[in-house]
Amino acid sequence: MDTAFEVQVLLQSQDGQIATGLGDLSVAVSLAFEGSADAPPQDMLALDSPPLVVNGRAALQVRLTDTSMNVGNRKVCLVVEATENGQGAKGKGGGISPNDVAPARSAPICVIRHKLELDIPAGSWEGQWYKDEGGRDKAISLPVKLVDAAGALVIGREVPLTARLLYESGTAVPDQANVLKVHDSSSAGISRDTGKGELKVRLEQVSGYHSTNVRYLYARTILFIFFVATSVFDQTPVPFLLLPLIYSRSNAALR
Amino acid sequence: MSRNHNHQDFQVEVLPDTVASPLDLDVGVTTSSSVTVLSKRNRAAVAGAGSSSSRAAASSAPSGAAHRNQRAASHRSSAQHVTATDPVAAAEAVAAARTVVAEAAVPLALPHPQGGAGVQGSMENVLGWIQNALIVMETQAAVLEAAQAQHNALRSTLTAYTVRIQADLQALVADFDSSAAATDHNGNHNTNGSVNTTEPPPPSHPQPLDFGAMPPPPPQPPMNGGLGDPLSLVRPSLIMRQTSSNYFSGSGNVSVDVSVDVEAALHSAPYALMDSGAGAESSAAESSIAYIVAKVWHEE
Repeated sequence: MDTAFEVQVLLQSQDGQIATGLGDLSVAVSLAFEGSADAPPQDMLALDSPPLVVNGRAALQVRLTDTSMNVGNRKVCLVVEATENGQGAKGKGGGISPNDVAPARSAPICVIRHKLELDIPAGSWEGQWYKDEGGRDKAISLPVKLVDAAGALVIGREVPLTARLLYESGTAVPDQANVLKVHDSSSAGISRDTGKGELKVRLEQVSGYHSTNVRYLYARTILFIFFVATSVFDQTPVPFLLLPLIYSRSNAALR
Repeated sequence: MSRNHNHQDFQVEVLPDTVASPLDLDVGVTTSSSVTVLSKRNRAAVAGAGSSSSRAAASSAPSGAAHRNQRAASHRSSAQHVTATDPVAAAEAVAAARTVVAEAAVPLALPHPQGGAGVQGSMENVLGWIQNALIVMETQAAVLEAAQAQHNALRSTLTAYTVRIQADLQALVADFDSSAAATDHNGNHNTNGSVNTTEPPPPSHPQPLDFGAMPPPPPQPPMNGGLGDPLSLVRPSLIMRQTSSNYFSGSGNVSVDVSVDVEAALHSAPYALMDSGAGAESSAAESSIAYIVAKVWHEE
């Protein structure tokens, strides 16, 4: 929050190339909520550079002066729209009309004040964890520190911590309460004095029944028995011949 | 485990507990690197990887390779305690150490550089392998030392026997020559008092002696341990088995209760003069034998 960052604005033609030689183009930068038509207060946005696209490109210095927490914990998007032609367009006797330029919208941004950061030395992270070794006291140690936008350690703020288990794709693992346990020996959170804390988590037994793989394995087995039985009793191979189609659909669902 | 989730790896996201502290919504979250969750380590991998100092290994029981190293160290120390005066124990230590070497030879397989996670894990695997290799080499050196000690002990015993046998053979030849000379010059065997000059010369090889015609030996202290008069040693009736257990047992091993000392073996006679009194250990069978090279003591 309140730290300038650069936003690249490119003017693209229909074929996806950067539209150069069209003169300067003034743009208006505004904020909008993610997936919504309403907008946050516009004083949340500050521009430190002129909103002008020169020769098809612009590098805007943008600051967000408030956090997402204060706007309903919603993520915001930057919206860039063309407003009017600049000087370059006049000089070349043509240029592009603002009406011909579609507005652009950035990815959602969550504005924060501080950030948690794992305090693990490079190369010391174990890529494999054996959950049935070492007894109940064995846990994954996650030393964490609180830093600001410049990466400096933040002292004087106490932050309680929790953990969540994700797949590698970023999707949250279902049944978090039974799968991921925060160990009792974890610290209460980020310490006010040190700006650091340590979280110890343990992965408990994950039931194979909830696995997608196993569910489809059961379904396939039942389907196979059903179709084979139907083929035998009806004395026709038609249901049996439908099996590849069913299997291909289940394979697609697995993916 | 990861296999229950389509073999997907997991990540742990650390985030502020906004339920407990709603004002911490302005704190960004962080996510760990991917981790594969498994049940237990494969035993074969443990044996190959040696001493891995990962968190899991640190909190778990000692690995098989470490246990084997401890066994090798204990056997190495026991082999080093074997001295040249205890060949039976040396033989046992050699056999035990050979077994350990055969077992300890397994970690000599070079671990895979990527056996552990990251550079640190790989380096620790390599260092563990080097440590195992050094332990195996030390164990083999201890085995060789023990075998050398056993060999030296047996060799000194055989040397002692060889010396005694050579001395006894020389005494036999000397006794035979003197007996033949006395017969020829004195004519004791000629009852008519004339010297038989047509008697053929004595054969070149020793003949069985007529010990009954020989004069009784002078009394000597039993178990004198020295050579003494060589002629007195040629009489089997005067030979008794020494109470030393330098004899070999039926199994070929040296008796356990007596240590094989080189000096003692050189100075102690395997045969000693028998006291002519009652209770002397001499059998009738032995009396008919010209010379007893060695006796084998059968272990009951």
